[in-house]
Amino acid sequence: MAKQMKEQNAQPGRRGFIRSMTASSLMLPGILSELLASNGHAAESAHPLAARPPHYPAKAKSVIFIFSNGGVSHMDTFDYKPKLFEADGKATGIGGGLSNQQRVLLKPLWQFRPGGQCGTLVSDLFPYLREQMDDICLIRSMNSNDNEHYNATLGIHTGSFFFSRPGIGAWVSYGLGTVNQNLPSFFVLAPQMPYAGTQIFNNDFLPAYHQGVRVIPGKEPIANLQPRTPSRDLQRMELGLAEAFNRKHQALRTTDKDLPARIQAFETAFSMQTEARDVFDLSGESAETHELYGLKPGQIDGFAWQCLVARRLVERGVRFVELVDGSSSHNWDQHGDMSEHAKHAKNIDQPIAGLLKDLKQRGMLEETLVVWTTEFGRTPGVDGTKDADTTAPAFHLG
Amino acid sequence: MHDLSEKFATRLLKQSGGDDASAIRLLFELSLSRPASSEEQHQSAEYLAAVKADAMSRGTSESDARRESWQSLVRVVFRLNEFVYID
Repeated sequence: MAKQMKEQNAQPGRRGFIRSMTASSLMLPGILSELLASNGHAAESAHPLAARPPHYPAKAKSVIFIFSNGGVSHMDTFDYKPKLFEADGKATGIGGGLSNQQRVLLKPLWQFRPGGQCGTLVSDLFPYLREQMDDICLIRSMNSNDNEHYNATLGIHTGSFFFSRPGIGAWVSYGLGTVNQNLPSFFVLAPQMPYAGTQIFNNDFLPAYHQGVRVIPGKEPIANLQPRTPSRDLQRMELGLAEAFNRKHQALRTTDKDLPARIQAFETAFSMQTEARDVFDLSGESAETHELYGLKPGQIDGFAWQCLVARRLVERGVRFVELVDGSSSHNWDQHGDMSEHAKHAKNIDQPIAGLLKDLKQRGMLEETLVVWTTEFGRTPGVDGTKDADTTAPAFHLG
Repeated sequence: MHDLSEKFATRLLKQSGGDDASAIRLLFELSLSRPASSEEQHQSAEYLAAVKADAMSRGTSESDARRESWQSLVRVVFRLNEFVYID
């Protein structure tokens, strides 16, 4: 053994150096075992985010969950109500929100036309998605129990309208783990905060590994991804010693469930410094792909960027990607002027349709569930010159 | 964090009079408010020696290598759960 250790110590270069550390009294931290086992299967199965089989066989391996803030009007988009066109301007006692005022009805401002071979009627707000209707499963029976944006947003993400609970992405990560342990299992691409803020992607009472990692489109989508430590080897050594110290610290605090996740976070962050930068580098994507999403070459933000990056994340084995459309202050909540729905629709129509097409042509749509939803729909009663909210549709695509 | 680590490393070396063992003691006392265990003392010393040897094998002067190794050790301590979070 002593001889073997001596030989290991004599090995030149990085591996030898790492070995020399592990051969001495330092513990064998996860990073070192990963390096030396060169991603062996045994090392992976011990990982807290290791992929787990579902209870029932499933076709989908990843989820892209698109959330549009503010309450997208169902009857102006995917839920054709012919009688509403006839009833325009009439008062029927349908109120806005919880009120029971005699509000005047407002017909949809857009025409409906059949899309795809199935001929599902979709309004002119979504000309690109309309072409994809053969690949879309549309659910018109969704209903919300709450007409407050904040509560309904919390509800559709967590199942709880009032109390903080783990978000759906955290649950999926908890239940199924993830394929690529070099990246987090759950990403949230959110230029701004949605209603209910971080609660929609919080792990809450689940282990902290399952919390969504927020990406902010722009020059630095994930902060501090560029390592400042002089060399990769030195960084690896620093994390190795920190892990050894952290494990000892944790051993005396076994009931603290956040500590293992914090230790793990360093390993994930370490691998992310290479893998994640690659995800956000779209220079390898063809002009055709950019065009499909409606993304300008070199553009580093916008909803099209979010959609293309979602595909790249799923491609790399990320389990759950949430795309936040709009924010708690700029969104689909058109009380003042329904026609503003047009600009919000234009912003996401081509990118989502492009994403579906792109996934399909790469053979990824079979294994990717794309969900698009909002927190609730709207009532047809005029509120000023407009339209107010209540019950809602959610749409399943994919 | 990196800038502070550099400053703190300089301070530790100055205050300890250049003796690694007492600088390690000082590092744990000032950052974690407790003495280093004998194992931590030992592991830290080994770590310093390993980083220093590596730097010198790449042609770094001994004094620069020593400073690098200390900055590195301070970064390790500043990243510890015990340092970052209040339990």
